[in-house]
Amino acid sequence: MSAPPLVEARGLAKSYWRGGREIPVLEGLDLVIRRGEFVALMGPSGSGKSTLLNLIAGLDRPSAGSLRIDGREIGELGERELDRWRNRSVGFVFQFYNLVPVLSALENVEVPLLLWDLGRAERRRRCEAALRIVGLEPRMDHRPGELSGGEQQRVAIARALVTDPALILADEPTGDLDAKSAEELLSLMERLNQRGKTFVMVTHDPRAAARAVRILRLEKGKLLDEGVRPAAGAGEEREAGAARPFPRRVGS
Amino acid sequence: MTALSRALRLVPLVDRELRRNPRRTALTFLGLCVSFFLYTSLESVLYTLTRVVGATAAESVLFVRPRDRSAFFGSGLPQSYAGRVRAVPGVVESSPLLFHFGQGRDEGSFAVALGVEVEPWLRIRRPQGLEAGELERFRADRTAGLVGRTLLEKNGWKVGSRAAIRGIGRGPELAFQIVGDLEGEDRSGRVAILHLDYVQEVVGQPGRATFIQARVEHPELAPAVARAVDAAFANHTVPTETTTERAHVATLLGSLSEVLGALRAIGYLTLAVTVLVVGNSVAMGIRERTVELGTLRALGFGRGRVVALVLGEAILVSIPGALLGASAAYALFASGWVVIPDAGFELVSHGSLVLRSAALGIPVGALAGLQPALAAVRMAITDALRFAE
Repeated sequence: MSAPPLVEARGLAKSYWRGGREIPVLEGLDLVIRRGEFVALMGPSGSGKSTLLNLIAGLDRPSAGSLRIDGREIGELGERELDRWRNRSVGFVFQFYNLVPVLSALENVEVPLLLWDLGRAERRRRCEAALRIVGLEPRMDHRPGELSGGEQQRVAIARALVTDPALILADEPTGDLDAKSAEELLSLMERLNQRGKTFVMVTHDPRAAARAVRILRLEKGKLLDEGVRPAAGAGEEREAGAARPFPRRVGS
Repeated sequence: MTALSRALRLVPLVDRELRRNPRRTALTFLGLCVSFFLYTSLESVLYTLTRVVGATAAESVLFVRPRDRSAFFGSGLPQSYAGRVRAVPGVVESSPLLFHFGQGRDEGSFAVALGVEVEPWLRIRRPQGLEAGELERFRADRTAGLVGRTLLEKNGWKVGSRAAIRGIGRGPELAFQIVGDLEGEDRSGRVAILHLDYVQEVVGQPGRATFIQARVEHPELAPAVARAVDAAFANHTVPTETTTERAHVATLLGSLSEVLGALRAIGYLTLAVTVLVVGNSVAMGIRERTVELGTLRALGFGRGRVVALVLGEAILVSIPGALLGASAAYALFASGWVVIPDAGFELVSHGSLVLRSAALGIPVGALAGLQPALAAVRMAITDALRFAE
């Protein structure tokens, strides 16, 4: 029996107005992402993958269509509800980490919890637990400038985990990392996914995409096709999964 | 969990942001200090003048002066006017006053000798704190003087010693015996009260007075009595203009007040410029942190919280800047170093001015931070996050 849907998009569209002209970015997109999935969104620049990620994150609103996440219609939420929903339900991992440079690793992880009704001790306990998961508990007093890129991205993952969100969204999480750090980060994400966390990752990197369970390919605002990584036979299958021509068109 | 405790949680974040660029924060802080120093200094000057008028001037005491203002500080009135003023219904007592301006022991130490008719003056002014022996000695000796505490201290004079007020320019020297000190009586403490006939003799103005001072039965009678006095002298050689003492002092300070009014406007302009300077500094910081603020909003910080963070930064630097600048002005004025030459009083400040200036730091900071704060939240989160790319 498959897991319940976490993200359900029906006829999702997004367009922007530039110079008096409407520029469609996403067009009539249908999509379902289930709990516990690790989905990679791929596509050339301008294909709409970041826009789709922003819509799923509640950072932007669709122009048309329906987008339900965890049973809630995102387009119907008011701004305050949306802020609160993002804080409670979504974890973010950005390409350039987006940590606050004047805060320590622990304080950076604590930032989303500042909006929670938790005492200082409980906030600290949760932050330490999140940093322990990403293996950075010994560096929790270090500021971002004192950490490597890979370590900073792990702090960002701890920040995304600390509220125990239903969904973690990663925008090119390995884009600014060297190969070794990228590999470590992807392994961490994979482990967290195996422990039940749902990931949606935008990436250009086929190696990164190969670590996902599903790969969605976008082009010119449309979801073209989908690749599914087999449960077993990891290495070769992943490479093949990322590179092969996808057999079917989804969402159109 | 109260809104206050939620807000307090953000204080460390605001504090860290202020330390991000210590030089910029320090310069902004310094600018605020200087602005509030100037502002508080100006307010202190205005406070001094208000205090001078308010502390000494009574509504039940009238000042009769020549209508011709150019004769204000001369000896424009006949002494005999005092008797006529005393005869006006509602007047309890009157006394001619003759001023002699000069300096004490040191060059530039401003001092005023005031010649009075002793008994009428005592009934009008009702000086406090004078011992019976001091009064007796004052009555008995026409060259005796009661001297203000400040004048004593500034010149190193003591009760019992001889003193002299040297006239300005070629004015005569007025020597006298100090027989008592006036504490809290005169508005500046720089006045020496002497016998009228002695002062007239020394300065060569027999029978003349600078003003006539009169006490009325009740403050409410003052306007009507003032009109009656002026009517009585309307057809005399020297027509008069009679006001309450409060109005009289205010008039003397009037021309200065106009200048200070302009200076006060400059003071507010200084604060306005401070708002712009601090605002620019905050705006620079906010622009550098566009991505960071976008990230905070992505993580669930609403527009209100982000505005609060930015305003908090501006206010957190404004309040201590205002407090320090105002305190420095207060310290300077309290030191007694600031005097207006020949004004007859020291400039003083008051703790309430420091507190008011510090409180003004809040709106100054809020105004300075408002535009950058609104600009920070006006940008779409997705645009803010793309700012680094």
